[in-house]
Amino acid sequence: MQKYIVITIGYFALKELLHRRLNFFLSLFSVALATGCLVCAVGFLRLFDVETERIIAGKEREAKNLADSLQEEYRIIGTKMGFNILILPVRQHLEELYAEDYASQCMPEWYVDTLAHSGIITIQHLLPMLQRKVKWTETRRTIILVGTRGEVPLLHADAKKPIAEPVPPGKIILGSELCAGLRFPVGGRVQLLGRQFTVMRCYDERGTKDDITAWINLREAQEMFNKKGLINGIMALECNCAMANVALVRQEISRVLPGTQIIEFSSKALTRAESRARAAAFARQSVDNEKQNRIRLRAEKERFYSVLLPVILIACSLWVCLLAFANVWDRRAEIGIFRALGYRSATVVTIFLMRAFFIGLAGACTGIGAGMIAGIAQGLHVFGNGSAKAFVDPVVLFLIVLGTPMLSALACWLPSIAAVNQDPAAALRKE
Amino acid sequence: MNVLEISGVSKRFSKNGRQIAALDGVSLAIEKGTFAAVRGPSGCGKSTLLLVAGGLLRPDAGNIRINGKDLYSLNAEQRALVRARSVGFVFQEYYLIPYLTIRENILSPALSIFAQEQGRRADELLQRFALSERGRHLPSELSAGERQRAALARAMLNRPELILADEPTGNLDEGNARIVLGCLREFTSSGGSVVLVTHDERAAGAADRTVRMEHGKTAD
Ligand SMILES: Nc1ncnc2c1ncn2[C@@H]1O[C@H](COP(=O)(O)OP(=O)(O)O)[C@@H](O)[C@H]1O
Ligand SMILES: [Mg+2]
Repeated sequence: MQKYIVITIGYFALKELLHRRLNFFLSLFSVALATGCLVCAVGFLRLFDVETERIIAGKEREAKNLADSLQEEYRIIGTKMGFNILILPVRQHLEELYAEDYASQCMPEWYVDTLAHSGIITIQHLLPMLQRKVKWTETRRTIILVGTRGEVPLLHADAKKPIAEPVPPGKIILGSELCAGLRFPVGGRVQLLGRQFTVMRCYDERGTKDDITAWINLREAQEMFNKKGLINGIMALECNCAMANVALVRQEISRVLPGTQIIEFSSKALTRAESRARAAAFARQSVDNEKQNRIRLRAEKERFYSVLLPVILIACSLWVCLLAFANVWDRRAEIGIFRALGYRSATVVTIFLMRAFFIGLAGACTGIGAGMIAGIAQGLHVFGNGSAKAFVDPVVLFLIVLGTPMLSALACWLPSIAAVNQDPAAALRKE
Repeated sequence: MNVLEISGVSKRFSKNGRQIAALDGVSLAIEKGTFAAVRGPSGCGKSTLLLVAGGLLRPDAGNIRINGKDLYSLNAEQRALVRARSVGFVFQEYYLIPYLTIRENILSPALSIFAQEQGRRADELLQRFALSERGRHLPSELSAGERQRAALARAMLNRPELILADEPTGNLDEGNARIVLGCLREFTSSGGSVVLVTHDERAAGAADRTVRMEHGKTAD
């Protein structure tokens, strides 16, 4: 019985809506406007997010390209700003050095400590080393083997980030050629001149003889070459050209270490390492900037919608409410007849609330349709065919379809109550 | 036994600050199966009397009994149920629901009381009031006489015991008036009761009994 009444009321409500079309269409338009705006706002934010993803991805690609090109520029700047020198024993013949790729003459290891304690200011990094070109009998290759103890700190200077790492005993670092050619995995063990080493790292290709160089601990190198306490060169890196030129540095060093000679060289590997880091940082920064920018823009949009939507929602609700009052006024005699026919109050309220529900439902569908057409059209020239998917959130649509009729019924609550409270006698008595 | 008992009913309205006694101590009893007419000039309180009698307007004094039950001692919902079960209204303006077809209008009391086979009953009423061809039409497509017959059919759907008719022939030509009065007559002959209020002497002539009314008072 209840079901029959509800169905009948629904049927009557639909017939009434189609009968008083002006009121219906004005109400429908109002609801559609509100839901359309809601759909558009939610959809545009979604489109914006998808767009953001695309832009950031693009920026990241761009940043990577930028980083690559910047790296080259930094390298050029880097080589102009500083220079590197090699300190050798005075007896070393340079022809031999250049022909053999290493210095055969040695000097005491403590030279480097003397230099570090001397208060020299034109040099930033000191790297003592013992170098030999050797046959790697186990693999039948000729390689350059370098013993190093890492960077010797300059006592008077501020601690700087070391640019070369020490190699612990038992470990080995390999140039790219040695790694690639022999496929030694990092962490694997290799045999070199009868000793076991664990591969600590493989360097990327540098395009220099570094690629066929292996670095081991200085002590171990001294033992292997039977050169205890000796080194055959000190690399002084990033000499400060703002303060000195090569001649001045040379003068300063030969004052501290009289038995040495000095040659200038440039180390691509080091400058490149630094420039790479700087370029990458710059690129990351620009991606971050763009991300911040998008987040700011989105917040602005959200703020705008968070003001606009409530205003539209309230205005439309008021308008729907007003139209419902007009409808009740139009139907005074009808309400009087409902009472004369013995309808219960609940039935009369349901008649009007059901009407509001249908207006909400029809309005929501119309609004969603219109909003989606607008949103997809907008998205189409940004995203092409994928725009519908990017724009529509099924959950949101579902909530709108569900919520709008409720809201409409809520907006028509007062008019419906007014309909019930209306005096039937006044409407049915004609003068 | 009296279907309707009106005893000592008064109703005042204030109009432009002036008090008007629309009903002034009206008493009236309607027996089962009678056709009573209340005749009086316009403004004498006839419509007010019907609305009070039907439970739509609470009187200032006196009471109304329908089948012995004091109408205004019930709450509004209970009064609505009494109307739905026992009372049918007919008005000069028909007050058919404009967006429902004639058949749907006749069926509309089903929203207050649902009963089996109301559809069949509606078709029967359509036939009885010669409206079979009009069932699917809207009220606006009907003539005045057809509309009043449809309103009468609607009032009869739930098989009431009492029909309260306010100038039902006021908008009708003589032929249609006769048909409507004939229908009311027929209703009483099958055990129903009718209270018809009118200023029209001829309409009153169809009744078993006529009560004259003037200035809110009855006088036989
Ligand atoms: N709701 C009302 N407010 C003020 N005056 C009313 C109201 N209803 C009826 N009246 C007055 O009561 C008197 C009786 O009215 P009514 O019952 O409609 O008379 P009738 O139906 O006999 O023409 C009239 O003077 C009318 O103006
Ligand atoms: Mg009247």
